[in-house]
Amino acid sequence: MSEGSVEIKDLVKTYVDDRGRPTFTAVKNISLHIDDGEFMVLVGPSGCGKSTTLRMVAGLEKISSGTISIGGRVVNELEPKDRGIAMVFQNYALYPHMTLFNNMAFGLQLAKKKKEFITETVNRTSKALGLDHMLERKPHALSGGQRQRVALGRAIVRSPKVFLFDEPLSNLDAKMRVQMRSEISKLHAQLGSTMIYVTHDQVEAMTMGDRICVMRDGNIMQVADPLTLYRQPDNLFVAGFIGSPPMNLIKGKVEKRDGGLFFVETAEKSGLTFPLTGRLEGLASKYVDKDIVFGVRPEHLSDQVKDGAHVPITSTVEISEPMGSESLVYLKAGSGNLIARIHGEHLFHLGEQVTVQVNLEKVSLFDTATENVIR
Amino acid sequence: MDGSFPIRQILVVLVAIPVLYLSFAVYQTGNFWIALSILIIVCLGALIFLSESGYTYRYLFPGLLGFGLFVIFPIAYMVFLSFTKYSSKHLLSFDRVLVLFQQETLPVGNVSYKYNLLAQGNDQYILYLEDEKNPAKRFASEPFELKAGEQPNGHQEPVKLGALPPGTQIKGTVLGMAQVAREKLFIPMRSRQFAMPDATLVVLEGLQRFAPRKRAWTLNADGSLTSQKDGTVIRPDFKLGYFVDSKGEKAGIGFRTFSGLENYVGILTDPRIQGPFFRIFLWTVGFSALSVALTFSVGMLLAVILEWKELNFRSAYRTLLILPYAVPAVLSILIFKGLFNQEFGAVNEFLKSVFGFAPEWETNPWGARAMILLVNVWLGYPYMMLICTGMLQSIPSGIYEASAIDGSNPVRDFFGITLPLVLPPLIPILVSSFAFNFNNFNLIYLLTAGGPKMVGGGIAGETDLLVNYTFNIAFRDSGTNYGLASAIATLLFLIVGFLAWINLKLSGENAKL
Amino acid sequence: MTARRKLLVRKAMAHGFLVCFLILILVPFIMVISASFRQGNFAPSRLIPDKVSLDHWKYVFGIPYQEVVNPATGETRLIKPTTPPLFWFWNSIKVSFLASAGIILLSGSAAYAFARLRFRFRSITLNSLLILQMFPMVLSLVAFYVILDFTGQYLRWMGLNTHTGLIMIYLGGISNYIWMIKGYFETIPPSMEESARIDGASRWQTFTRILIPISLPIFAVVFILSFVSYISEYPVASVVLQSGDNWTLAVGANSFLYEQEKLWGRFAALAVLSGLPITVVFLMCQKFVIGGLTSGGVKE
Repeated sequence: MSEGSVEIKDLVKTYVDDRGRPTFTAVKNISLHIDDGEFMVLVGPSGCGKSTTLRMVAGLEKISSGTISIGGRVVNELEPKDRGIAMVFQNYALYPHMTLFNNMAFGLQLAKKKKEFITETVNRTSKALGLDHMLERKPHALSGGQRQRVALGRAIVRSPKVFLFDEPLSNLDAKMRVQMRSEISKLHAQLGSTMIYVTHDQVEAMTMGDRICVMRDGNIMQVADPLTLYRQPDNLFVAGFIGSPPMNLIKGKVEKRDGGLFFVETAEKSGLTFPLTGRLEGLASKYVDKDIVFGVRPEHLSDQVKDGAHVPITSTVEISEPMGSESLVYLKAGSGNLIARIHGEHLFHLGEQVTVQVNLEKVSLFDTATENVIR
Repeated sequence: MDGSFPIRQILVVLVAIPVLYLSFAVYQTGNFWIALSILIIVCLGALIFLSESGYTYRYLFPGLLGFGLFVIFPIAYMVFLSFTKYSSKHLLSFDRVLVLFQQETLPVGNVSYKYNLLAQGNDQYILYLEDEKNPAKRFASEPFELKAGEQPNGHQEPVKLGALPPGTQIKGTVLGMAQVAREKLFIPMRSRQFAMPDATLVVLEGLQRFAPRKRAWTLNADGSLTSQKDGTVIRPDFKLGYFVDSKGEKAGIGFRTFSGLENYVGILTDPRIQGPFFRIFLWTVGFSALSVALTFSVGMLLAVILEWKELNFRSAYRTLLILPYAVPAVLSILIFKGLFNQEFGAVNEFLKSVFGFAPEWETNPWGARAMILLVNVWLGYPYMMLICTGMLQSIPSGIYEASAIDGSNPVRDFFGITLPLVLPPLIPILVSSFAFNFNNFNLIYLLTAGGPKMVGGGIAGETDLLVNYTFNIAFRDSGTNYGLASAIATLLFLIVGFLAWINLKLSGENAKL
Repeated sequence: MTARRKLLVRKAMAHGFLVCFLILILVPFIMVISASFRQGNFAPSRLIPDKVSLDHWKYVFGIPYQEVVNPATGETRLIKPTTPPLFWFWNSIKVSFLASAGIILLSGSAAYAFARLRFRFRSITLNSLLILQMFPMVLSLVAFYVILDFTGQYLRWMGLNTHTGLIMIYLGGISNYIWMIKGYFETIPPSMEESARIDGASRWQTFTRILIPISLPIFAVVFILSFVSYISEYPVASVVLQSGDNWTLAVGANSFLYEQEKLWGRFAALAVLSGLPITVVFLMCQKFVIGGLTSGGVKE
């Protein structure tokens, strides 16, 4: 095991009230391995347990059961300062009554490091972050982005083995967010340290992570690199969570008709029907007359025909969002809407008839009961 | 958490040792339970500050200690007292009264003795007695201890006297009377009893002689006392709090005793107490409610005016308007006492010259009440004004702009928008202001001393609040009736505590945190 | 034009109302100042004294002066207070200052425990603190007397008629201040303390080096509010402090106003002398107090 690897094993967190009675289980037995130097993103909706997990790694929350190891050493009983970690908070958590210099130097001062060492380290770090000319200022005199950099600097100064980020960019405006995203990625490339990053924004997750861990209700839904997550989601939740705009998910059944398998949408009136051929036929063969979910991403509902099996759908435009080189078109189809990504600068109007081709090669099928992908 | 230097442990030791010594000293003077309590507290404190699991409680310990001693203990004590008959007529404990009875003595015969006190060194003395009529009869006591200035201690065994053959001299320095006085030995000597060889007791009579006395009462096996003078038997009546003879007549001093709910029943049924009690209760409630209503109205009115951005000199006005809050209340109240002086005060001088009438602020109950309310509004509006200002400032101005577009006017804005928005967070403040005024002892005490006196209400005054009435019963009444006062105080506490509880519930989630 | 005129009329009315109100409010102060300079001990009744005299001021400062006893014969006698009333003012400042400082220490640390630490009976203790404090301190006088009488037997400096004893009693009143400080602590995001913890600070270091410096505003408010209330406290002080030189301002000022002979002039001088500095200091600190009192808000 190398220095900065993190091993989470069978981790559980149950909250108790003042009298010791359990109230709520936030993390329900998860296991995760993070390599040394990896940028791991924990993503999921509010309340999924990602922040709780991060805080348990940091040592800010007590572990109910399970172990967390950093660099091969179990750290369950260690104080945060002894774990070799540093954390960047959502609201920066800078000390308002101290200057920037002291904010960054605080930890080193507590550890009773030599004054020259402290000055040198802080100066070096602040220079790298572009903060060296404002070291005597206090946090209230800084902008959001500058404050976040100070928080970063404070973490860097600790020379930690693992960096922990708790939704650090949520309080910034959109432009600042994009800028800080790339700065953090650059930092990762420079330092090569392990970084665990919590966010609820899947765009951030996809752009920054080496691997992404999708969580929901205290459980891990899937851990993989961004592309795998996108192309091969393990379950309905990941399929619908990753990707913007989200994957079209149509509920229906597998029916045997005319010697072939078809997907028939569950609808009162005109439901969609797709033939299940080739790869899909093999997958669906075990699910005849059973409920499944048919999933296809908007970019695979396009007006261009590519290689492979395609099925056309003709439908009416309900809403159109022109983005410049392409449009997101909301089509009324079956019992609901389908979102399609159509190239070109054509302006679509309400009620216009459009034919899109469903790329059957890129379709995913899910078992409705278990919510898992059918492979 | 610990540096290399165990500061915490050293501090604990430095504090604990003197307190342990104190506990020991208390124990030595006979107060067992108090010494034990001190010991428990020191041990608890040391435990909390030395063990790891006590970390949380370290922050609480000093504050709660003070709170426990000066808030919880007095309340518990008061509640305890409310179930007793503790007043100036029933001041001593039963044991003490019994001891007093047993210390009473009657003269025996008409023998009297001259005496000399001979110092033996080391606080030891020998008493020498010589029969005044028959100098051959001499007696000397065994050495006994006399400490200068010592207070009498109740039960002490009589010092034995032995007959002295003629001619024998006693060793020791003879102390003259002046010396005895100077060395403060009279009081201790006076409280000692000396037993003659034939078991008669002699005590110091006056300053210059000893005379035989015998105990006036003997304690019987069943707890009653028999008089040695005339044989009457008296028994302790624990309900009445006195010793009574067979006819039911009281004897001696009353003692403290449990009276159960007698005090409480008295409040409800005894006309001397019940009448004033309810009238005072009504006035207390009315005064508190009116004070809150008036200070709030004035404060809110001023706050609204001062929030008007078009107005100039707003901060100057605000500073001046806060002045009544800035001046120490005790001084302001006494100043107003002078201003409202019925004959010579400024208020009546002004009213007389301009309007031709001068209200009776001091002698008329309603005049006094009006004066109290006026002064309380003067004292209380700045606080309300500040609170309301804060509330008003937190209302987003967009609301008023929207209403202006809708065609509203300031008055409609106030009653339709401002007031409903501001009232909910204000309610806890109004309730606590009510509770504060309910117990506003200072104002009444300093301004009117409760006056004018209520006719037929004993010591009750027309402007007394429940606190003042209770205070007077405890400290001023011709009986200083602590028991009754404690009962009223307990009731008062229940009322105000109930208000606080309501306040907590109204603040909602804050209480749960 | 009419809209503008309406505005002017409204402004004039507002100014008029405020000025009249202010005159009513401030008249007592002028009366008192005038009474302090007026010869004789009449109840305050004039704006301008008829006969000006510095006698009362001399008395308050402890400077002896001659007072005419018999106008016919011109006989005078020397008036000199046994305790210069100025001394009472100093006593009050001393007692209130120390008590307020103690209050901050006790309620600040307890508030930290309630705000940040978890323990059994937390909410019960908190609510009990509030409710039990409702018992009026006045009625606990018997118990206070008993306690101080007892401690005075062993520790002379902490018994009846001592300032230390009085301060001890005042230190029992922590409940409301605990609530105030706790409320303030709860507005501070815990992430700051967590960050300090990661930086290696112990709980105690977090409390002293991070939380306390940030909380200075609320401590100032608590200090000022408690100081003002102790200056004006009368019943407990009057029972505990028995000898003249130990009296606080409240007890001493009231002592001028006997049933039979109310010495208004002297009282007025003492009131002005002591009231003025306290008022001025309060006004200088009013920014803090207002901030603390107005931090409540309408919830959106």
